[in-house]
Amino acid sequence: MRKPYLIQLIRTLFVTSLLLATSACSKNTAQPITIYFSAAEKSSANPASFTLRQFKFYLHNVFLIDKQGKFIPARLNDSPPWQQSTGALIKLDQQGEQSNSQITVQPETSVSPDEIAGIQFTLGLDFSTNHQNPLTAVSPFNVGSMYWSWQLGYKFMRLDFSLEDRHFNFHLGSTGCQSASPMRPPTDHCERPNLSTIQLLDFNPTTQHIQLDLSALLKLIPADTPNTHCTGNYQDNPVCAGFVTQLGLSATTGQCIDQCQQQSFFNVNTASAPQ
Amino acid sequence: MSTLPAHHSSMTTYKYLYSVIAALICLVSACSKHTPTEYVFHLPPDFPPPPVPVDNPMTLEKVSLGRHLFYDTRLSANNTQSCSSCHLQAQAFSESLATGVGSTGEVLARNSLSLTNVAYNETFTWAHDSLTSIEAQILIPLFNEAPIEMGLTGNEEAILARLQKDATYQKLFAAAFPEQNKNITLDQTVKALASFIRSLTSFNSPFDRYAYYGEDDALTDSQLRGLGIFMSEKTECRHCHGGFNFSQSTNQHGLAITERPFHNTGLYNPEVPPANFDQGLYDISLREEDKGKFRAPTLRNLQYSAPYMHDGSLATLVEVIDFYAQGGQNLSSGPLKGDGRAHPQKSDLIKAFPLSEEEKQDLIHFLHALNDESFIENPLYSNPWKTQP
Ligand code: HEC
Ligand code: HEC
Repeated sequence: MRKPYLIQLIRTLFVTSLLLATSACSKNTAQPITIYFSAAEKSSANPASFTLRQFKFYLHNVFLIDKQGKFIPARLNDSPPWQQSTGALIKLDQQGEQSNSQITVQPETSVSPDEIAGIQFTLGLDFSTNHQNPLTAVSPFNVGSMYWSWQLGYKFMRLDFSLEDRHFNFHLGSTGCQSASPMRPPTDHCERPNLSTIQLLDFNPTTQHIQLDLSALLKLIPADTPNTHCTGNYQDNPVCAGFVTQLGLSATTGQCIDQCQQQSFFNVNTASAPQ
Repeated sequence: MSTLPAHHSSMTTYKYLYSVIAALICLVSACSKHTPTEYVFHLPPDFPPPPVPVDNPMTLEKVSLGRHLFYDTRLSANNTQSCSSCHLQAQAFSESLATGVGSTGEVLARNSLSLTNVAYNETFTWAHDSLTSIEAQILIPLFNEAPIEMGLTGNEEAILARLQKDATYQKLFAAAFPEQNKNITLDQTVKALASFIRSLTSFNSPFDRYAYYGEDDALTDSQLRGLGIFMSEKTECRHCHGGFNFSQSTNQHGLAITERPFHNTGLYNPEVPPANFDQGLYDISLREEDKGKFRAPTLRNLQYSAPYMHDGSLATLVEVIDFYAQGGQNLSSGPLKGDGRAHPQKSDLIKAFPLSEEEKQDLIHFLHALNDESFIENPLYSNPWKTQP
């Protein structure tokens, strides 16, 4: 009579694993929270006809801020293709078949949605994610158009558009990364990390969303500006420098000025989800 | 003791056990006789294998069959042309004619694409956004009527009968498709051809030795400088020819976010477009913004795959680099007269840039570091009919 024991054992294992699974779930009762993004494209600031070509950016290191001003770490859910715990990709243009205007985070401690009064995240990717082995990188870190090289890592933000027939390319990312060649990762931090801390107060994700204000950027572009490529040496071109400054960063050091609090690109929109 | 009824515990469990053992025995015996052998790709460490369709898994037997078919002129209606007539191993499976010529002599509009690492391509041909499997692509040369390539249309039965008569094929088909070895079908033929083409991987260039095998001395100083220029914001080459296959149109492992990586490089902008002028992706999509857009091909094995561009119109790499340095091509005469640099759909990443003679040489040296001699000499990819009776 050995078989019944076997069956018994299997049943016990099954029940135990069920119990384990349920208890794992109940460990964190905090509800996942979804945050939406949109781009305000229409601009009265620049009358020239505006065409958005590409608009994508990575973010990570998310915190929710409650009404008492407490920072609650909020983990990005592992939900490919658009996000992994190490970073999320937002894509607000219509190029290609897919786009993504949201992230979902899991607050580390339970917080009732109406207690949330702000958010903070880092635009871009941390050093180890940014310089990971591109061969083994999985979605959203294998999107060719957002990649520079092993040495420099990813474009943190890519904004390509045209004003009439003039083309503008803003590609933000870490620069001054030292390694033997583009095919070798840097061992130490990059000289200009260009990681912007975005903090938005008076923001509640259930009733509002985050809007990227392209018109503020367009205002920086004088009417006769020729084709402009901002893909590294931001300080050399006033339009590129202005773009970087809009994100709260110094174009010369690649660091936040005043904790990036002067950034004016990310704003709160009072609609709960983008239209 | 047991909470289960006695009959359950004794009878049923034994029955399960027996059937499991029986199934195992079947499997093992099948292995020794018919079961095809899984094909293992030759790739550098950590390299993602290319995607393979679930209904056509890679096996050594299918690859071997596909290789025989690839080199067999009996696959064209008039017995004159095989795939290898336009895709030559010595030319990295492209050819040296500017544009291909079909089995009946009709001239194709485009340059034969190199089949280097073709399994990784996100889309197929120079410009088609919905041709996403090799199996579907292969039907084009087989059945194309305008122009005629291999001329299968209406001749399928006759061609399959030809193969069926050959004892070599009887064996090869039976080994590749053991579960259905009665009659050779077109589906089997296409699947085998696709499997052979998927096996054409090339990752043994000096660049690969440097980048993926960590051999610091695999590249010369000039090639390393060229790599820097290639990756620079001045030339922007990396934008469209990025990734491990030097083509943005690469279906990388786990890639779930697809884009439409087609670009107008400013090659043409004819004042008076001739009839049948090749408009690239536009001819498929009929979307204005797709005019003159083509897929950025891999830059591997360029030394063997000249001439360049979709119509084979640029003969050398010097011409290609001069073309990019001028931000496109301005033709002052000929049927395509017009300024490609001013094409409204030209990519914003194609812009004139200054390049010293030394920098140009460095860039060319770097492109040559992408040549993989072992690929064009690999005996596994060569004509099997020459080595076997
Ligand atoms: C008459 C010359 C000719 C013959 C014969 C021919 N091809 Fe091609 N092949 C071409 C040309 C030209 C292209 C590019 C077509 C285009 O862009 O429209 C091409 C493209 C391809 C591609 C797409 C490669 C890529 O990177 O997208 C594959 C795969 C291919 N051929 C496989 C085959 C196979 C398999 C056969 C035999 C069944 C074959 N070809 C026969 C000329 C030929
Ligand atoms: C905007 C995207 C883009 C950029 C930037 C770009 N290419 Fe290309 N490249 C393409 C496309 C698309 C084609 C095919 C064009 C055609 O056939 O009409 C191509 C074709 C080529 C070819 C011919 C390949 C063949 O097999 O025929 C070479 C060589 C090449 N590019 C090298 C470069 C170099 C070197 C640079 C940087 C100086 C560069 N490309 C920059 C998109 C780009």
